Amino acid sequence: MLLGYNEVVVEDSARIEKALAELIGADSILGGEAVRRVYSSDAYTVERNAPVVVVVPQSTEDVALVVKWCFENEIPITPRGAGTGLSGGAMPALGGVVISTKKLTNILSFSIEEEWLHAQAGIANLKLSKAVQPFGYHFAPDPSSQSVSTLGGNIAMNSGGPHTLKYGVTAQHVLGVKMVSARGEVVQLGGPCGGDEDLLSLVVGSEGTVGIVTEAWVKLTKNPQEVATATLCFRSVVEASKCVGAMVRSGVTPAALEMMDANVLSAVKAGFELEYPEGTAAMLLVETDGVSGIALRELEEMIQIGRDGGAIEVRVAGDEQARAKLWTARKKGVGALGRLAPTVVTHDGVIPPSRLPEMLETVYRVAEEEGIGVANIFHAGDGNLHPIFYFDEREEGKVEAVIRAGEKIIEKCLELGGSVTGEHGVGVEKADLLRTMFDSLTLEVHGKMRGVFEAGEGCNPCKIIPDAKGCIEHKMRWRGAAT
Amino acid sequence: MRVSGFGTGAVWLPECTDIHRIEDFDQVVDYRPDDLVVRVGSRVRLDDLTELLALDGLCMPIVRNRGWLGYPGETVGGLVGLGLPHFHQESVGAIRDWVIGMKMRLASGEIVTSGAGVVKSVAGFDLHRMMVGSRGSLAEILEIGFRLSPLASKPREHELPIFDGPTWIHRVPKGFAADYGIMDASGRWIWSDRKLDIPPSGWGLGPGGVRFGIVDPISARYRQNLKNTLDPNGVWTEGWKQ
Repeated sequence: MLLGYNEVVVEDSARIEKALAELIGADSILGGEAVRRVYSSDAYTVERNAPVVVVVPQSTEDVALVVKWCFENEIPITPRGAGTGLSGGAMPALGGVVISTKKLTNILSFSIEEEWLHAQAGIANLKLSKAVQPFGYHFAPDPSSQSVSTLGGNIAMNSGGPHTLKYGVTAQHVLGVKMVSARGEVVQLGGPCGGDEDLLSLVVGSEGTVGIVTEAWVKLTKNPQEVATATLCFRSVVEASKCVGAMVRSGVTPAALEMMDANVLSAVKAGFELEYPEGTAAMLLVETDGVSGIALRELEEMIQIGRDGGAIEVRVAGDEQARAKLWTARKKGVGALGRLAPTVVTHDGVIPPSRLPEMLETVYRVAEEEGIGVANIFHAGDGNLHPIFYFDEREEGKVEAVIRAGEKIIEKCLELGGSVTGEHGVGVEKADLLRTMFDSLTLEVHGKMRGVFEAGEGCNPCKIIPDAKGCIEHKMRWRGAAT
Repeated sequence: MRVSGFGTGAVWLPECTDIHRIEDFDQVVDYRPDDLVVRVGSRVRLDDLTELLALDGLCMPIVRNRGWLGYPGETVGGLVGLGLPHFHQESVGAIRDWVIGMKMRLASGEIVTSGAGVVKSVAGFDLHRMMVGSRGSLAEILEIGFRLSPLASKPREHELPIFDGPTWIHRVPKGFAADYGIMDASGRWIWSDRKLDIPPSGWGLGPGGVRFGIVDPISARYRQNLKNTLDPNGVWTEGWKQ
């Protein structure tokens, strides 16, 4: 059943707040103009729309009560973790109720012997690894936002990260979930031993459109015996890109293979007092891991490829402190770009790694054509680009230029045989661009996956496949709200 | 109607006399060793693909050196359509972890795609992952994209413990002491010629399309919704028996 969801306006807030407070308690309800402003977007700030009410349930049962009430009253719901998403997946497109998992932060149990951990969805990704680190384990997916982004958010977006090159994205590490369906039913798919992989394959990456994951069982990954890390600086982006291709094809699977260009290095240099050789146009960060003796040998192979490819400087981490320093540019690079302009927008697309030189040439040319700054910091080993545009959104026409530039870059990704998104998700940002990747029949079938879980258009409306009637008419206003 | 390649995995499927054999789709569609990806027709033989990849020092670590169940003529479509757990599941991942894209034909004849030709994509729903192990009950798998791995990373070969008669596969908590069957190195999977009495959190697959163990009644309803969505007229064989 598809309900005729329309936008819920702020005048409805008192009625909704009162009803929800009666269900889950007034201390789990957030209202007011400031709250509505904060929850009007995630980290993709180009498009905004304010919710009417924000709720912060403290249990799966509370989430179920809220969702059931919203379903029965035809109020759209938008799930939200930490709000670090970069495609507008947590933007309340039709207003309504934002359901935040910020109070669902407990680790419920774990088994080192069986290598699984059971936690609530609102816990930060990094806390999972910290909890089992004393036992020599970690949770492998490591998005750059891992210190704040939540387990539930990672599941919704099927998040990646630098080490997914070797260890895989979130989907490969989820054994089971407890989920509140769009009708307010609680369902468990899989569990500590896995199971239900067919349905889980649809839930992971569904961006909150089929229900709200409130708990999950995830795989724990044993820490490698040895980790070896190096950075390699190059005089040109093309040289560095060609080395990426050679490394991917070398027979070694690095744990991470990341690239940062001169604009990123210049920002981190100023922010963190790091030094790079004069004339560095791009830097690769390579990490190998595995059993003792192997990781270092594999790193040496990678370094030799880099030297043969024109690396002008190689730094190898001798200990954990040095490793952390080598990772600084990668971990802090996006934040440091705030020094260059008041607004940064991170894009996401994927190409075959062998086409990196051609793709990066396009990225720089498009940014120049549109008159905006661009820096590149990305997962080079799997061809997952993250062009970051920096600009002043108060300047007339800049937001539109950024949107245009993003679309041109994605078109090029598709021309090269890639994807519109590698790990940030479709959200609202790429709902239109999905039409350039899939034909209309395919999109129709993808859209029907909501129905498999009996989710109507009220469950995170306007995301992935935007069919709700309100989505199109409100789209221009979301964008206008950013300026 | 049952979708079939060469029919070597029939023991795992519900009984059916109305066989739909996939014709064509027996070619390598796109092979890019530099990007560690390949896309092949579902009727391509596993042995042929393994040989092709080995020429470039590449492999799919989920595939044994010779075929899958050990029968001649096993196809890529059979591997993915059956989606059976394998002996290195815990060390290299499940079959679905290596599938990056798919072209499939619905019972209506319409063709739908999922995934991409690159190792990483979160565009749209992961129908290609969902279809692994669907055993011909939802749609015909026509083409499959795989990511690849250096040959050097392929695990040491093991004989897949398939018994002469029906084989049951059990996923159990580590530490479970099975009194019968063959356990993998991780201690989580047991193959047996009979259904074992396993702990409540375990689950498993049996001959004839049986899935046993924990099943949330709501998930069974969702699985029926999935069948109704992709195959509304019930053209293909039934799904898993729970």
